[in-house]
Amino acid sequence: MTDKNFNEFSDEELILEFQRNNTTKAFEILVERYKNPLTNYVFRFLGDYEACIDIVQETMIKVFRYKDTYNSIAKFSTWIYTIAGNLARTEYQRRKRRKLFSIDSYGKEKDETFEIPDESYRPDIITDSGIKDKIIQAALLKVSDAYRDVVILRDIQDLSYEEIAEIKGLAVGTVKSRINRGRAQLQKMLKDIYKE
Amino acid sequence: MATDDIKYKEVINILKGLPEVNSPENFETELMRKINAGNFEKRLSLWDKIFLPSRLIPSAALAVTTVIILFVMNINSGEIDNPLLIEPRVREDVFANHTESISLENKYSISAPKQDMQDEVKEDRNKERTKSSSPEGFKSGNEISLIREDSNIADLDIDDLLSNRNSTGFLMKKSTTAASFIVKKGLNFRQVNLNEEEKKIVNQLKERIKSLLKSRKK
Repeated sequence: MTDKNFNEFSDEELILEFQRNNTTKAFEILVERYKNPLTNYVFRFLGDYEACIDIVQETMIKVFRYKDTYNSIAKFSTWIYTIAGNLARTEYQRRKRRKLFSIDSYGKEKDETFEIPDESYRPDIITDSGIKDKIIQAALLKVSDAYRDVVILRDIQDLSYEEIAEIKGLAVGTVKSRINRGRAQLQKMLKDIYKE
Repeated sequence: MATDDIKYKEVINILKGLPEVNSPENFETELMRKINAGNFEKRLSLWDKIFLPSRLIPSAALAVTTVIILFVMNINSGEIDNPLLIEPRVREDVFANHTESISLENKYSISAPKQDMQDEVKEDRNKERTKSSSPEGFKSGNEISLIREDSNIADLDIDDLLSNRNSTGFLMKKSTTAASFIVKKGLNFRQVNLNEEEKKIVNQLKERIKSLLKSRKK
């Protein structure tokens, strides 16, 4: 088989080739295909590029190591998004706990309450697209975890409801309602942006 | 669901308009370096986690310490008797050996003044308490019983046996050391005060024994 042939393979054919013959080239093509979509997905979920790259690399390593656990019945994209989503959620929870702990201990030490400044919605600083993107990202991070995940998969990654349902292990109806709730939260937070 | 898409059309457009975030150029190189180095975290099985030296050593030390403590405590518990569980000394054997002596002493007690008798009994009890090893009275009791077994009751004068101190003196003739023991000191005996009816019965029995002995002698 030539490299050209591998590039014409579907994701499922490539992972099967990697499973059966341990063909590294098939794995490399899968990495090439999924590195950017996964990076985008994980970054929109976490909001931290460095952490996002680590998670995507860890996802690829898991695919490499546990290739035999892939079931050919499922779509490869579903499988790899599930791995990346689980890792991203674990990292997000870990960061949240750390942040909560540090804020809590700070308040106790100083014996005073304080508020985290939030200037992301000030209309006077909404000037160019770069800042807008940051505001959208910040708003996205304020959406509840369960809703944010599915909104990203649907409206940014363009996955179908069925695929999202399979990735999340939920019913399609649940996925749809979660997406709409997430969108509603975003709409409320971003009304100043899209009215401009 | 098309209505929902229309409802949130602006939000959807904003999200779709976000710039795509791509991985760095050296992504594959870094990834393959990690894979080839094999420095990804090795998944440990449950047994591997349990038998990690860092966990096994402290738990084993704790187990050994517990066993040693239990062992030491067990040895000590064998030496120390719980005073609440010790049964009181049983003196019934002494009484049983003195059954006949009691009757003799009872006879003696009738003739002796009551107050003196009680004082002697008190003295005897005090001596019993102070002596940790086998009491003298116990020894004397055994000797008395032996003497009684060896001697032939038919050869004894029943009056001597039952009525006065000489009866005890007679018993002690067989034993060289018994004389000092038989004089109530160190003896455990029960004091029985007979009423008139019982005295009559005893006297009747005495008469019968006398007649029996006399008939035998003849």
